[in-house]
Amino acid sequence: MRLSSTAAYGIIAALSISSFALFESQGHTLILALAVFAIALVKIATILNGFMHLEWKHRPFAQVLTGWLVVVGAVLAGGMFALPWN
Amino acid sequence: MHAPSTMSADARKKTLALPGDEGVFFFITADMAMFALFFLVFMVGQAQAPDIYRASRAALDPALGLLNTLILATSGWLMVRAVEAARREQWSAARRNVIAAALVGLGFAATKAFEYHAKISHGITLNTNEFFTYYYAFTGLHFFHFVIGVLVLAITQAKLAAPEGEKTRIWLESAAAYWHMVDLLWMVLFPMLYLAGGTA
Amino acid sequence: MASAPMTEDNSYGAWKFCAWNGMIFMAVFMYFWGWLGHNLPPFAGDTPASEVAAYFRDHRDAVRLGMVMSMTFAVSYAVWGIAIGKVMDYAIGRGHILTDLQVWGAGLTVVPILVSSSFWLLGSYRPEALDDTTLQMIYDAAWLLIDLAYAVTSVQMFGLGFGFLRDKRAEPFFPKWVCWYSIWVGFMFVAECFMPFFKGGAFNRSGILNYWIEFSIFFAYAPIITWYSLKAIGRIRVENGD
Repeated sequence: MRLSSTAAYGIIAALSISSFALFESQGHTLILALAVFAIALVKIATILNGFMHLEWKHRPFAQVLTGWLVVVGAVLAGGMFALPWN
Repeated sequence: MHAPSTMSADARKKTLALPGDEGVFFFITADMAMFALFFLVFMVGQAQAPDIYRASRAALDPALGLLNTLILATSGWLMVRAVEAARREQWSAARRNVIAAALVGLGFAATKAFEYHAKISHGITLNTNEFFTYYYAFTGLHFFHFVIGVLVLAITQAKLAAPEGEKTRIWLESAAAYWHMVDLLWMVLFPMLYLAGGTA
Repeated sequence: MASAPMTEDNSYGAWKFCAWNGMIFMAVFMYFWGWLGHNLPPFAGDTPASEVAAYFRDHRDAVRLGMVMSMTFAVSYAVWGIAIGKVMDYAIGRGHILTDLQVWGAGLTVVPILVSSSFWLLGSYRPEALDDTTLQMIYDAAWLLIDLAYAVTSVQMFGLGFGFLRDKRAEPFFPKWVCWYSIWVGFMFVAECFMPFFKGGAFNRSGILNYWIEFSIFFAYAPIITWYSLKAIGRIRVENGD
């Protein structure tokens, strides 16, 4: 399944604005931080699929870049869990 | 970057139909791996000195970060439209979209220049503290990639003025893939530097 | 397909030996410059001068030997580049500018290695007569040179990468990923520009980014390029029926 480029653009723009709005309104918590990073990863997946048109058949790049998303997600989440939160 | 003009390579390409040259995708993957390492280095540093990072983050303006995010997303969308036009052999439309992508993209440079200037004039530099070291270094290296990308787009629009069929299409797709990489790396930098982790 | 008019005497043995010089360079560099010279990793920028000075005084002979060998074999990098250049002649035709860039880039890379090694050698020559700060300055001079001379090696890497991408053989001498790895490493060296601004942390001369990553991607480069160069020379010999 591949997103149309306009749909992808709409999603990326909307998600970007949402993460900004979340930041501005919700204060600074672990949940917010994780949400903002999750949004970032969804945006990147949208770019890979909807902009780059990368599909699972495009070996090995689709697999490697999916792995990248997982690793980066773990790094970002881990970084947030390692912080002190009130 | 050019299409290998041989039987086995062509047959392989038809089944793969990778949206761009596989060598360029290798470059993209290597670059993304390097940035993943940057993200790790930042997270480790932040965990060791959270107060410094949080206090420093408060000096950044997330609205400018959002603006840059939307600029790159728009520019990326225009590149996709360029590729779609090229696939229909509408070379002039493709060229216009590439030029538009580059012009919109230049907004990113303007915002960056504004941000850096504002910080530097307040005495915030590369050596101010570890957060700002990473802020300048990672956005700076990202910006270096952006500048290369703009040059590639300039060359791409010139090639689209005298297109050579599949060879030009593959060049355009490869240039677009690189440009999308510049975009997606910023998608992490924006929350990492501006939004997440707290500002208290 | 021999695409360029060449001398009939290709001296394949000598040519292969020249290609092996990339690995000779790496082996010498890692042991003599790296290990004996205390450059694996180097002292961080914020190491006290007394500690750097003590190293020169306590290990003067090791440093002297390390740098003597490093300076002697620095030229191997150029010899290697010339061997690669001859493969490029067959790949893309003789006289291509990208070949010249590769050869010159490899040749010019010898300069910072030679000169910076001479600085470390200088520090070890009569360290008892020099004060700590002077010895530290000598050590600093060597590192500032070797790191910030990156662009000459980038030129070699771009010449090689973009050059071999133009190889029109059915099976190119250098696969695309190797060409792009070469281009990428040349590109990534630009991060060394941050090195002079830091005495500690990830970007200083011993940092995770400006030392461990940058030098690792460089150290992986030589074996990969040497491997494909040797294979190419073998193929050329067969193609020429020699």
